[in-house]
Amino acid sequence: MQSGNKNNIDLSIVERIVSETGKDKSKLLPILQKVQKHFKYLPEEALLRICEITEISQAELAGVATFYTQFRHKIVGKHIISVCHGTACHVKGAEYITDAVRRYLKLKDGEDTDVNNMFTVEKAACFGCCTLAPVVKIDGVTYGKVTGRFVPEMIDLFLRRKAQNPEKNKPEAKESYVKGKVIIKIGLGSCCVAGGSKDVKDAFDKYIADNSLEAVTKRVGCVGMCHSTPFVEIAGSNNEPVFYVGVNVDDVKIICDKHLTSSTPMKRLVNTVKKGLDRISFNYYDRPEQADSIKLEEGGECAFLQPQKRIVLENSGEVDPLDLNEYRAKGGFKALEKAVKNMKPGEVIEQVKISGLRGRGGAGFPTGVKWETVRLSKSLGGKKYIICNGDEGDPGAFMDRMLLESYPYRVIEGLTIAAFAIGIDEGYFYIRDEYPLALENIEKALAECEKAGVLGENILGSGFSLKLHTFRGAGAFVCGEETALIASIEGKRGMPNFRPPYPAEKGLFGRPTNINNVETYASVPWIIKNGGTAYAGIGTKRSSGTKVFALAGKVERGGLIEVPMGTTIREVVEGIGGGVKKGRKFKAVQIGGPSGGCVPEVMADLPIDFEEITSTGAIMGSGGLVVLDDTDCMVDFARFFLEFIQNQSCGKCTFCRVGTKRMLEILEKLCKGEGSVSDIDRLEELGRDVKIGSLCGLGKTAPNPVLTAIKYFKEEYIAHTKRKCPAKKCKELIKYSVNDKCIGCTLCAQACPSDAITARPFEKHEVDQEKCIKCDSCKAICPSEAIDVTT
Amino acid sequence: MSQLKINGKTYGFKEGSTLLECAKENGISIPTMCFLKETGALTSCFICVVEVEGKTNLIPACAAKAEDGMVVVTDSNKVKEARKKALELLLSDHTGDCLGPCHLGCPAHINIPKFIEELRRGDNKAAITTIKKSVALPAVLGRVCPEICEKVCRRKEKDSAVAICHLKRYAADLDLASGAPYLPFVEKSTGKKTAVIGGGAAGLTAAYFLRQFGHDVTIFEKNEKLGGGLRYGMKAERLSEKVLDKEIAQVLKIGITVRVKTEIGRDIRLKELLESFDAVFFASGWNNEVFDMFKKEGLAADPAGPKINRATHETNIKGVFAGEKTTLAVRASAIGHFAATAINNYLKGLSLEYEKRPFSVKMGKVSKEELEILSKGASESKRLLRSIVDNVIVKENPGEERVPFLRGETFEESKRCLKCACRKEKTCLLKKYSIEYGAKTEAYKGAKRGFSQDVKKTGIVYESGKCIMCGICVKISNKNKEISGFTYIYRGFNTRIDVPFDKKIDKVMEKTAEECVAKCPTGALAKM
Repeated sequence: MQSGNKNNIDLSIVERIVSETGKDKSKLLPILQKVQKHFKYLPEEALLRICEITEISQAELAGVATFYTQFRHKIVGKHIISVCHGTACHVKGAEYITDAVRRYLKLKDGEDTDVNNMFTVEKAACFGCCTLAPVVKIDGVTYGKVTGRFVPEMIDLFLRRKAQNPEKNKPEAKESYVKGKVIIKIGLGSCCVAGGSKDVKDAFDKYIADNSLEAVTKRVGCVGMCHSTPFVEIAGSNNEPVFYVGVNVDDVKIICDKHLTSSTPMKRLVNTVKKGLDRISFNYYDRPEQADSIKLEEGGECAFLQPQKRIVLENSGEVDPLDLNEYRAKGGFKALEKAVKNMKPGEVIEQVKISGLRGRGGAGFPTGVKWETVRLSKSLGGKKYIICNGDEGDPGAFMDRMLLESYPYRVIEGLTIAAFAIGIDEGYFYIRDEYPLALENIEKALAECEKAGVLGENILGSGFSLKLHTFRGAGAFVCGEETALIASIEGKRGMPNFRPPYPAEKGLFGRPTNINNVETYASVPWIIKNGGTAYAGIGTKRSSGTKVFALAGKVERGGLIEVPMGTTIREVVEGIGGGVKKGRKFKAVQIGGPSGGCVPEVMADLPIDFEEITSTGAIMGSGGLVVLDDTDCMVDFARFFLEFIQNQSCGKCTFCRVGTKRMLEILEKLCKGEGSVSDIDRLEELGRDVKIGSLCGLGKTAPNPVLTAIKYFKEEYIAHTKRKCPAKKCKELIKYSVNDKCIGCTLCAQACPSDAITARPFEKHEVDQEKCIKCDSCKAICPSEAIDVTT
Repeated sequence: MSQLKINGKTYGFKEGSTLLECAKENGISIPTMCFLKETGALTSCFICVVEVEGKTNLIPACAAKAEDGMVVVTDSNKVKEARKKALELLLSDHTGDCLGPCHLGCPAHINIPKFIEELRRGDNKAAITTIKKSVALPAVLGRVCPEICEKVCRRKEKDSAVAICHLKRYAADLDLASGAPYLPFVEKSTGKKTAVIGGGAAGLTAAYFLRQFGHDVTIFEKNEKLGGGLRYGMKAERLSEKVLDKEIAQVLKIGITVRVKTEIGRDIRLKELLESFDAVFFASGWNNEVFDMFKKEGLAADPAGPKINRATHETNIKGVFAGEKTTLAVRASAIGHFAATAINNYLKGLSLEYEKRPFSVKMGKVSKEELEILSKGASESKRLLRSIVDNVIVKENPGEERVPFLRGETFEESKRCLKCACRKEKTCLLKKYSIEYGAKTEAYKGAKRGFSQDVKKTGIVYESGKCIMCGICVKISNKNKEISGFTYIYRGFNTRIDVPFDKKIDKVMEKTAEECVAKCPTGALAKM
């Protein structure tokens, strides 16, 4: 912690924040978040003042402020560049991006802010925009599919935008969907926004307004087809809907011209003239003359959508996530109504039990049984809590973010039904800090629900009441563990506690607490509406219903998908996802994130089911599926997860705190080619020790990625002991060189950040091995496949 | 009453009690470092793990409540192995020296830091007691020892080593000159008879310790006088006979029989000895003559030395022990002491193996910054190379002409010690259990915390590198509402326990510092 550089910290702000937020210990995280929002970091003077005016001690405050990644203790630059290092971003080269950003900002080792104090670079855990990997966020703006070469342009673009558009914060215009008008539906999940959909929507709005077109744009939730974002649907009142994928700002005009007409004859005339002029001035050099629409019934889109069964993702891409009326018009809150008006709490639990629904957070505990336990738990005064675990921390997973962003009402409805069934009148949405839009949408949706009487006092006139709060996480993977999550809401470090007692008996503030994951709650309305038996009829015997997956990595069609349990991994990867890129080989799929493991291609016919997945050494987890191809190194991949886990360990137990560190060190040694075969044995041995000797789920599952990688890809580990990296990924073990296909175009020399290639036009280039930093820039830019990587 | 099974036996238990409590009540010991009744289960150290039937993971006994019908195993290999691993992982990130490098470096393992501190306090009786726990002839060694301990003295990295050897000599000389020189406690007679062959440094030392163990001892010396190489192989100016005689006499005072001018193989045969002695120790030095004698008496040997089990000093003949070849008096002393320990174990029917090298975590080479921290409490003065009395340079005047330290000089020199050794070496639970479970200090190598030290004016030291993150002090200071008490800082491997906001403990920890020292399971929190 940086000690008091007397920066004239205005402590009255701190006092105001405290008086607004509250003084008890449980307010610590919100207070710190607000203080940081103001100062951009946590000045020590401010922290000491907080201790003086609240019930929070210095020890408690320091413990918490240094626990969560979100909190900074040093002054930062004007803008923050966060490079996502989630799983999908890692396999798509996040390391190269961070290096490129650091080079561009001329940062020395150990520095993270440039000399002009303009930018601070951070590594982020995972933004959950995995299909757009690698992803970079500058302040609030997300950039997807970033390349090392794009970095200078990206930063420049950001600054120019900033200059043009200083802190524009205009309220969202309330769209009215007039019958007869053409509706242009644009997905505005945070992935889509990162893919440019906000810009596309703005362009549509502007073009429509400028030309007085007979159309309105409509924000819709995630369509799931993240691989082809921005996704636009033109829904006329008479015509069949038309779909466009990968829409660009430049396409807007073309699409509008094709489908829309102006409201007045005069405008129409003007437009015709303008069109003519544009044809002359518009540069069509590298863009096709027309954006091509697609049909959902054929081709890749059909393969993507057809095998899916959408229960949790019902009405995807059709409804405005925040339009409560629309949700209700499509049958929303009917299940709640049925429950509170026509069913007894016990009957609701019975239906959930019959449905066979198991917790979608990863462990697969039967939901109905959990509810019943909480219901039967005795509590003084009857006070119990309900929590929605939206701390989706697994890098490579974004199901919960999408659900919270796109289907907030469904999640709220499911949670409300649960609260009714258990007998709970207060609860929390715990949403991780990296998901601002999810938090915003839930907050807005909660307000709408209260207004409409489906939440709050006397819900739907039934006499049942429920008050829901939101709680913003502060960056800690371990807070996905229920006891750590509870500690976090209570204003403590997110350190797990021994169970039993389970939260069902003794949870938040010592009261019985029901915690389920987002997807679990989102499955409930369908079950209540259609009956437990109907749900149990979907999926497999032991794992009923559907499962939502975030499909990303080296797959052609990534996105948010929902399939019946029992679907095979191959059907998901090769069918829905369209397999890996042509010329590459599908190697494995990482399932379950840092707690899961790699299921090799040979086992891809395994049906997705809690027990089946567990039998491979991986776990179902919350639903992140990252596809790997033959360019992904299994040693590096295991190292990646261990590094993540090591940073995220709460530091309490010996095996997790020190054991995972020692495992990581062995993996680092192997990646450098300095390991031996006995190191591999030692790694496995340590992995088994950490598994059996850890307190919480994080430690117990932390070795899974390593153990499965060794189990299925041992030969790769052995190759590393011979200084070979078969996937050609480990920097210390590979060499870049130029082959005879070189046409002497000098592009590589221009791209090389370390002057390892001298520009000699029309001559075969050479890589100076001494200077080469293995950043992959030359290979990425070479137009003639003349760069060889050898090991 | 509810019942559970521990290690195959059924016990009743009180509702709500933990497995640790249950086991304790029934006399089954489970190790724990982070559990204290007043702080409750913190489940951090994980050495209290046990097997519970039906669970794949090991369960921390401190937190798990006993349940009716539970089947618990506390002593399986799986459990022991896991405890050992937990200890080894903790040791791999434990920065400090249990024993000072000098203590470990001394072949005879004299507790050097301890006697230096005793000398600093002016307590010579205590100092000589400490020294004579490991060696029999300190006044002699103080003159002839090649100062092996000083070669590893950490003070050397700063300027020059503490004059350990000279300090030891000071303590020994002062003791011999006193009216009542130190005499060790001799245990009740065991009735066992031991013979020591050779009255040099090894033989005298072995006899000295064997006698203390309560055995009868007879030294067989072929020469006219005792002393061996010390008498017959040493220049007079290095070691005067006066000192040697005085110190040998002091050794013999505890009741050791001596038969001079008696040579084994010539005057008496080993076979005869074995008829009247329960154990024989050959401390006869090594040369061709001895080699011939060994062969003649049927003892395995080769020209390089006797063939013995190096861990126990046993020869090929039962009850006969021998020391390896050495030319250094201090090493011979060590051999004598170790062999005496092994022989004592043999005579008492215990395992013959003894700890040749005491357990100790080692800090190894320290960085400049760490050295700076370590040096804080020590005196800045240079090593006293020359005597203040007559300006004779020690190095140029070896042997008896070496000018001994004066009282004041001893005090000055002893203050130069950096006190590397752990202050809670005797009570540290990490050390205790590591020895018990055979945990190795360097089983895992990797990044380690640096050495740091924070001293409170009241004499309390916090060395965070020795903290095992048990959380007891956090709980205590929180419970007692310290304004700024101990807390966990950071996450992952970087997790530390410290006082908040980079404060010094002197400014905080008003109420609970003493209690935390008492409850800290390691040397992280200790008294100066």
